[in-house]
Amino acid sequence: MSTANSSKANHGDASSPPTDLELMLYVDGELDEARHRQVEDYLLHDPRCRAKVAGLVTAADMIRDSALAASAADGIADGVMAKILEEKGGTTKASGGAVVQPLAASPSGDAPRARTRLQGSPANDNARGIFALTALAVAAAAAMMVWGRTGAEAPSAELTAPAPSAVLAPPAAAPAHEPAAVPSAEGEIIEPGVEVAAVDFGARMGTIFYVPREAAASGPTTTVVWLSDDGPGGQ
Amino acid sequence: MRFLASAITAMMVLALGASPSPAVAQEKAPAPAPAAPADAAITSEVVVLHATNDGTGIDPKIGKMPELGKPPFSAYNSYKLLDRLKISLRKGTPTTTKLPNGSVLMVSLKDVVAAKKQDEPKRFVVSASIQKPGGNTFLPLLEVNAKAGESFFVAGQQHMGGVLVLGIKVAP
Repeated sequence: MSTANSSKANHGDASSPPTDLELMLYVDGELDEARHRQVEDYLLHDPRCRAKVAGLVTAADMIRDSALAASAADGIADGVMAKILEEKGGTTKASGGAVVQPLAASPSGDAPRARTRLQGSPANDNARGIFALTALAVAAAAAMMVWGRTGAEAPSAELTAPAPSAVLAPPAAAPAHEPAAVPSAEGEIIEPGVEVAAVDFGARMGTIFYVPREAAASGPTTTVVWLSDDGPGGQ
Repeated sequence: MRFLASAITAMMVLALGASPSPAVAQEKAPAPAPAAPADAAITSEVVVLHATNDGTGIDPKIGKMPELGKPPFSAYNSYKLLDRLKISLRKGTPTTTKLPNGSVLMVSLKDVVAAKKQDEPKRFVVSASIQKPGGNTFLPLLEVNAKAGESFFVAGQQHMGGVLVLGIKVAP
């Protein structure tokens, strides 16, 4: 800059009117002292140059005010951030040690607090709940697999094969010597020693009995197939 | 919350689906005793009783047979042992036995089934039929799944004022 000043000073004559560039340098205070004094004297006598200098000063003031306003805005933002951090700084610093700076400033201090609450324990509680229930389901599945491999019988397995008491033959027209009542073994959970897989009485009347061998009706039974011999083919 | 419920349900379904059901586990359980060879013969005992109401009671030769005092056997007050014989049953080969009234009892071993549990005896699929003289059929078919050592009875043929009662037991 000093080089430019010196060159301008060299270009300018002591009696010559200052150029626009020299006026700008004058306004900025960047002319050397001798030329500054010359320009100053010249301005006292030349109202046109004074008007130019006044315009340059006004423009410079506007630019300076604008720059200050911008810097002032930054300062306001910094101030707001500092205030927010100061308000919640107690908990943040106490818990984390380091200050967490929010991404965007908010006009009020409530929103950041609300956001902090939403990101807090409820989400962690849900995660814990899902994890706990998942672990429970996996444990139940493992227990069922172990139970199945041990060969333990299902509680209802015995009930799937009750001793049949159904009469496969036509129920009516039983032989006279047969008892009218069929011993019922319904509800019996003991597997019969003999199960009738298939039967064909032909043209005769037949009845299948499951006769209890013991006094208790729920005990083992003996399978009896009793046919009438007075029908077709009888003696 | 809905996501949580869905996640739990999905996990339970997957867990239950991955685990074997008790029935499947029972099927997969080792242990079934090896079935007898196809050509292996088993012994069967046939008792032939004559049931009447002549008041003579139960023949002591019959042995312990408490069923005879219960219906339908109790329709007769006297039981006499006519015959007790052992027959050999071979899979696919019927065995015939002539009965006192001239009928023919045909017994055949259809299959040998391994026990479902280790401590249970094997089961035998046995079929029986009775053919009367003259071509009449008294019992066309009876097929039973009998545990070894268990008896089943076929009764009703008229014989000398009473009826014949046949007891068939597959020996263990």
